[in-house]
Amino acid sequence: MTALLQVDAISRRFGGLNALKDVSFAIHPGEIVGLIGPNGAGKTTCFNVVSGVMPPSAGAIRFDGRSIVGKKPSEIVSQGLVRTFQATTIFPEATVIENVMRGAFSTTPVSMLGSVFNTRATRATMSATHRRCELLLDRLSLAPLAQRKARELSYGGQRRLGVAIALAARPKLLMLDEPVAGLNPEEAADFGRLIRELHKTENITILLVEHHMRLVMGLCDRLVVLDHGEKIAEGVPADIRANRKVIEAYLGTEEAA
Amino acid sequence: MDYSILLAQAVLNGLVIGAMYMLMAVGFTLVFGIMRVVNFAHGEFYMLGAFTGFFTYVYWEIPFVVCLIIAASTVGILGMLVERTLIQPFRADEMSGMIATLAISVIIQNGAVLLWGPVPRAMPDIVTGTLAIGPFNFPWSRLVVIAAAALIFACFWLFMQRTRLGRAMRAVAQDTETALIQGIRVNYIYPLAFGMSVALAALAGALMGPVFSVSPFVGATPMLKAFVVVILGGLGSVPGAVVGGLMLGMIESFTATAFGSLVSDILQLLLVILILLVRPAGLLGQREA
Amino acid sequence: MHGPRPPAIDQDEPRIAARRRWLPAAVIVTLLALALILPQLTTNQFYVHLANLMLLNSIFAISLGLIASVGQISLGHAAFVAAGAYISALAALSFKLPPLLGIVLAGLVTGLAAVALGKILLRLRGVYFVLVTFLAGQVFTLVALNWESVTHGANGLLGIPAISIFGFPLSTRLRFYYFALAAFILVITFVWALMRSQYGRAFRSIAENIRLAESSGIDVSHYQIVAFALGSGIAGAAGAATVHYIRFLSPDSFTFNDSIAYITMLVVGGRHTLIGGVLGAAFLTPLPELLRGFVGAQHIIYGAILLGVLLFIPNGLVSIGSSLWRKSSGTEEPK
Repeated sequence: MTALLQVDAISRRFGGLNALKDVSFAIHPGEIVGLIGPNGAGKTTCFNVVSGVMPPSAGAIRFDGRSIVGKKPSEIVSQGLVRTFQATTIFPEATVIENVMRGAFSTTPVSMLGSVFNTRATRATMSATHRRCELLLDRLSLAPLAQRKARELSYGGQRRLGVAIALAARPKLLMLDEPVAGLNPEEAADFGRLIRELHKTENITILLVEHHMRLVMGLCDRLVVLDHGEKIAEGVPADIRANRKVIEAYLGTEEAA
Repeated sequence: MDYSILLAQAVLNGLVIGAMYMLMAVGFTLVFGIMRVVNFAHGEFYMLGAFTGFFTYVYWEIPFVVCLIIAASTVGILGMLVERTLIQPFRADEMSGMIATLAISVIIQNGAVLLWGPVPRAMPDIVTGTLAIGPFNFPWSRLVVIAAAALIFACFWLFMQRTRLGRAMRAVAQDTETALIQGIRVNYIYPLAFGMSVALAALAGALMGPVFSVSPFVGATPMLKAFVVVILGGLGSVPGAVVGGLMLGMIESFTATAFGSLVSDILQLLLVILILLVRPAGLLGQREA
Repeated sequence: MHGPRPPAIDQDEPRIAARRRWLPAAVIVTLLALALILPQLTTNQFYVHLANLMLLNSIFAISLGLIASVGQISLGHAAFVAAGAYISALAALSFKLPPLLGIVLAGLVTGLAAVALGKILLRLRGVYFVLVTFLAGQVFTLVALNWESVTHGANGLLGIPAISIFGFPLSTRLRFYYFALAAFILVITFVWALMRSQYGRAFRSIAENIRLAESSGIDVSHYQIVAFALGSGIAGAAGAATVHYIRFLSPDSFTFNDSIAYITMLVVGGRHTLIGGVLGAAFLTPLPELLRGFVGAQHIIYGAILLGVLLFIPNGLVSIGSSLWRKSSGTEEPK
């Protein structure tokens, strides 16, 4: 089986600091992979480098068989690698449905000029996109709130809207950056079920950065563990749980949850 | 004409205007670093400083040092009031804050025209005579400006490094949220920082009053140059403002001596564009993550 | 988590929906009829002149609003206006280029210049962008003042021809009025269509959340350049139209103060809507006439209005109108 995402010895330096050092891992189609590690381990940097927000100092990244190093985030999205953000997950002033329509921007096949003149073809495409977005809202139980402004949603609602925006871009690989941070245990468990369900229904592969250990252990097929910018372990959750290096890394901080 | 004399003159002029640009840019960049506010009224505070210096020195005939202190403190207090009432409401909105400072600049400048008229006033030198070193003659009036600017900056630097308040300001500049957690009261820091910033501009204005003339429009050029300096040195970086200010002063002085002031101004702008192409965050600036 | 909110008062909905549909159309038709007829009813040429300036200022403010719609603000807008004016005026004076073509040429050249500047500023967002547009504007004025062999420096260019359509010169204020009205309608329709399209969707996404826009597959720098180029190009073309009306051009014709005036119009009218710029221009263009008694205080009052609007009605005069509209049609959102 060929990998969907192949990260090959990437490094990222800030000034003299190595935020990432020779990190390699692969994600295969259909997997749910967790990227974990104590605070400051380089998880967010890794996410930013892979999604094209910042270039790697060294190393190669291949997605779907093509190199994506040096490409703009928007191009990477068009290829099917879509990410969410920890904090800024929504367009606050737009309606919920408009948020998802914006997420569907790259997967709405209209010519820009045609859309200025609002041609018949444009109207047909736009209404198809609109229906697709409504379906997405329905699946994330946001449909009744479609006409609300996004900032009026509850915190949990905004998180789900963030996922809906990402799904609208038709990802092959969805990268979720701490999707349950700030949710209460019950909401977090709900979110976990939602991710598992979407994984099935939307036929997507998922890479997940998360602190919430119970969620990660229950959800992921495989885990990649970072510490001080280096990969210290990789394997199925049961093995990771018993890995001595991982335990030490977590005990060294107060993150052992 | 002897080239070495021309050269010495260019260096001296470069230091004088460089010192002024430095004082302007340091204040401008400080406010941006701490408050994320681009103060388009910065040049108007320079102008107010120049007028305060002019009136106190010419009409009250008091020592120039006292004039400087009066200029810095009155303009500084005015700045704090402006921050409290007109800039604070836009803390969350960079764009509105910027437009607000534009409005403030329009009001101050035209207020000055209304009060004092548009005609430039010449200010007498604060010291006369020249310092002769070998074949070179340096007017004391210029040397005093350089020395005063250096002294003012030294005080500012010591304040930022050694006092609790200065350290608090630097902490806010680095990371507002962490500073808040550590119990630094931002509502107290912001007006102070703004007041200090415009006081530096006022000092620059008062110092340059005798060198150039005093009119409601004198703030425009120093502000323009402060923009160039912060782009050179990186927005928010105080060392960048110092290096950039002195560098720009020198570049301006030499190119103006060689090619005239128009070419000099255009060269400066090309330099800015060139630097932005190579290093978008300025020569000494940090890239935003 | 909130549950779904109770639906709004049902029985009113068809009535409101119908009203929503016909009312804007009726308003537009009425305004258009008034705009066509009113100037014929006045003999005072000054009012016609004021109307012309209002239309031109509206175009300047709308084009600035286009740039602002991606979350940027240009402090060099007047420089693009001036550049367009110089291009068309010089082409007419030196090469006898018909003003109508000159206007098109001015729009194209200023738009392309904005693309070039935008490419340089590609990685500069927010503050740096503003500072560089400011500097670029200053340099333009400097060059116009000092390149005397071409621009005649501070003396300016005299004898710029009026626009002529198939040999019919628009040499009176009233004739130009209808041209300006047509240009205004063209621009506002174009920008309206643009903002309704996927372009508008991209622009608004960028203004609201630049990181999320990029990760939604919207090429942020591309659309920022598109907005900057279109806004600056429209400003350049409108500047050219203005110069064939005023028929005199000097480096003082469009300065930094005018850039601030456009920003003021946009902010006072309402930054986030198409009508905002128009409303701002309509309100602020005649203001100097009303303030004739306060010579010298005019700019101060402008500044004070700008500050006051920012502080107390941040979404501009338009927001007052739209909240009245919501109240009268009973669709005010429950808070």
